[in-house]
Amino acid sequence: MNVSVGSIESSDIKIVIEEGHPAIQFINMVPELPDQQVYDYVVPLLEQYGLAGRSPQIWFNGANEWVVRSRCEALAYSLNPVNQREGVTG
Amino acid sequence: MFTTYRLELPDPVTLNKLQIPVFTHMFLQQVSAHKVQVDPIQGKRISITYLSAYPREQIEQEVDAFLERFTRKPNEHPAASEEAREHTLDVVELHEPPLEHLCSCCKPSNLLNISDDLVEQGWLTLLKNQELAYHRPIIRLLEYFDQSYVDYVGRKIGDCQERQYSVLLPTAFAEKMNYFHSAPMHLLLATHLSHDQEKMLSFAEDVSRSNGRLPEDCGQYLEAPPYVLQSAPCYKVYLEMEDRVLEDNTAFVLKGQSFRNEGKRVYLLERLLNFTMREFVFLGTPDYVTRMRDLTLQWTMEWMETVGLKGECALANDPFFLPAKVKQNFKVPKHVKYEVRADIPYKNDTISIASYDTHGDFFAKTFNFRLRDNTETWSGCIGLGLERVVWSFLQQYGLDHDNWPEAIPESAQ
Amino acid sequence: MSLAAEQLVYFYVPGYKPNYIEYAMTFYPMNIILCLEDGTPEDKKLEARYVVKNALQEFTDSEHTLIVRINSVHTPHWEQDLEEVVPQRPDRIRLPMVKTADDLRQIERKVQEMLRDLGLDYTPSYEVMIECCEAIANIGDIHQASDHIYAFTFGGTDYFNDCVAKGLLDPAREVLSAKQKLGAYCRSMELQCFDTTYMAFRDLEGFREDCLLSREYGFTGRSVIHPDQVAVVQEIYGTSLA
Repeated sequence: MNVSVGSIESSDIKIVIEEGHPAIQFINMVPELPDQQVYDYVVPLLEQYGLAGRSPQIWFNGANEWVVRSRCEALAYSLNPVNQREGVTG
Repeated sequence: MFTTYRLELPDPVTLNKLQIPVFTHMFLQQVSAHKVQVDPIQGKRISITYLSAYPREQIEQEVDAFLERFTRKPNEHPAASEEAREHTLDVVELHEPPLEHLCSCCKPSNLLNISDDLVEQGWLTLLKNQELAYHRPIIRLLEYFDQSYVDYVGRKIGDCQERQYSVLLPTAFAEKMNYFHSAPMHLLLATHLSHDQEKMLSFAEDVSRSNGRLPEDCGQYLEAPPYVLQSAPCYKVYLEMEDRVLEDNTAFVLKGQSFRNEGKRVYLLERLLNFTMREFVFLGTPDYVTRMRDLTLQWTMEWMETVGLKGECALANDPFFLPAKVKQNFKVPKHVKYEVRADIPYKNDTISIASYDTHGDFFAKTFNFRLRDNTETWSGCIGLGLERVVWSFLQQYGLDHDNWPEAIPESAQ
Repeated sequence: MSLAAEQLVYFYVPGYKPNYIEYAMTFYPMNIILCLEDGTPEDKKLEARYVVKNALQEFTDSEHTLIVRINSVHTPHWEQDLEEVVPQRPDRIRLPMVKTADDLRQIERKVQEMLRDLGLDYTPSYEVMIECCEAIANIGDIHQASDHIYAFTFGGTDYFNDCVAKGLLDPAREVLSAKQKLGAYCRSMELQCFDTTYMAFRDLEGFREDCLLSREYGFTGRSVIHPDQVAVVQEIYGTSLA
């Protein structure tokens, strides 16, 4: 199973949940931000939506919090077994 | 993480479409902001986004200082009168190339941004610090477009002297052509540690204390940079030709790495700190250099048609070599730079993939190369940015080979 | 008299692109349409729904009028669109491809149900899109189906395609005829009436001529897709007919 939301465009964040991926992986695309700061910003939001433990791959390109939340909500919805069973998409 | 606030630009400043990218670039160089956006409709309002941890008063001070410099009228500048005395460019009116005919009218089939596809399909990998790893499909396309361009345009030009140089431009050479006046915000410099033993030891201790990290205040350990990382490969041609006499009009062909400090604007293949440029350089009479301008722009358009790339020619307004101050009488054309711009369909916009700069006699006089019997000698060059060619091609056609123009051979797929 | 952009201009932004939404927020006050329908590809519809939902929360105090174009009742997406968007109280909701009064009633029922269940003290206004021959024929009934219609708007591309699908001989002429009918109806009912997007955004002269004709037909504003079109709309629709 491979689910992806968002994009690597400016002011966005891309999150991919790939079955079998070993660990959380971060690419910080914003040069003036230390990687740790981005990690500390994004991970708590992922945890709120139950995504941090699913070894997401993340590309962060300066997304504001409302954008991170949007992406997390969409991903959480997609990964919800109820929605997958019912074939609810798009 | 980020805070955004809005500001009205002070009267009488209004930014038009052409000014907005320049304003944005300069703003981000001088203000500790993450992003700045200009209202494109009236050009009077800007939105500034900065890291929330940064003090608001500090940002506001930086913004005020920048706007003050940006809006300062020329005659308010303390050194303006001195500059005016020294500024003795003899502007030459040339016939202009037929821009209305210089277009490549191909029909791109892709309207969506391919950025995510490039990553998802493994055509490139994003590394830390905005570095990229190109995979085989990108490498093949870079090779193909370079070779096909050289084959097409080079064959039309005829006899071209081939060259290859290092990327290091000696600082003394750069100073001679007022390099540091023209685009200081793009500078990337190369230096080394001081040979002073005590400084070397101190450096080693500093590194050890910070667990292998580079000391924050490195300046004290470094020599004044003996080199600039070149912003275009063609400079080395003028370096080589210094004090030489040319038998006849001469063309050079070369490829090299270019470096431009783009700061926060770096983005995938669209804007890189380090990119590859294929250049043709022309040294000779004004008529020859101007004729090669018209011909190479035309041939570049023709080449774009053959590979399916949609675009057009346009007059540009950032000549890369002209210094702010000059101390000598140079002849330069009124319009120095013409760009080749390729369509980026998803953005309803274009990007510059190549440009022809007509230098007049600037380099010839600065470096004292001339034609036999001292005929007025000019130079000009056309440079094609290969990564941007690949980027605009993929934006126009996507990553699926089935949608690519037939002209693209199997070897490039 | 020249009216401000907020009264005349409807700027479309693809709902799945948060950077475009943030960019639109830098504009001077105008109507921003967050598009979940044609501006969002099928495989991005779910993400777009949450981007728009969170954008409405984030920019609730914005000086812009925020309008959401949901997906048509003839798609599987419209109900979930409303479920996420209505609680965020968008200023208006744009309803594409409304063909009959029943289409509109179906949407109203869903919205009213939600407002009741959530206890929301809010009533959205609708901008109803007329995009097919059936809709023009039913315009009166559609208008009667809801007390909350703010405007009708014309969807030119879909109307044209509908004419082609029906085998009509001159789809371009049919489009003009439909515009005349819609404009005349709205004028007689004193309703706002917004014209369709003009996709050739570089052709400002062509756009200007199209706007002049549209204004004669009775249209009071226009949807745009590019900043360069804004000034033309303000100029043409902002001045009263002589």
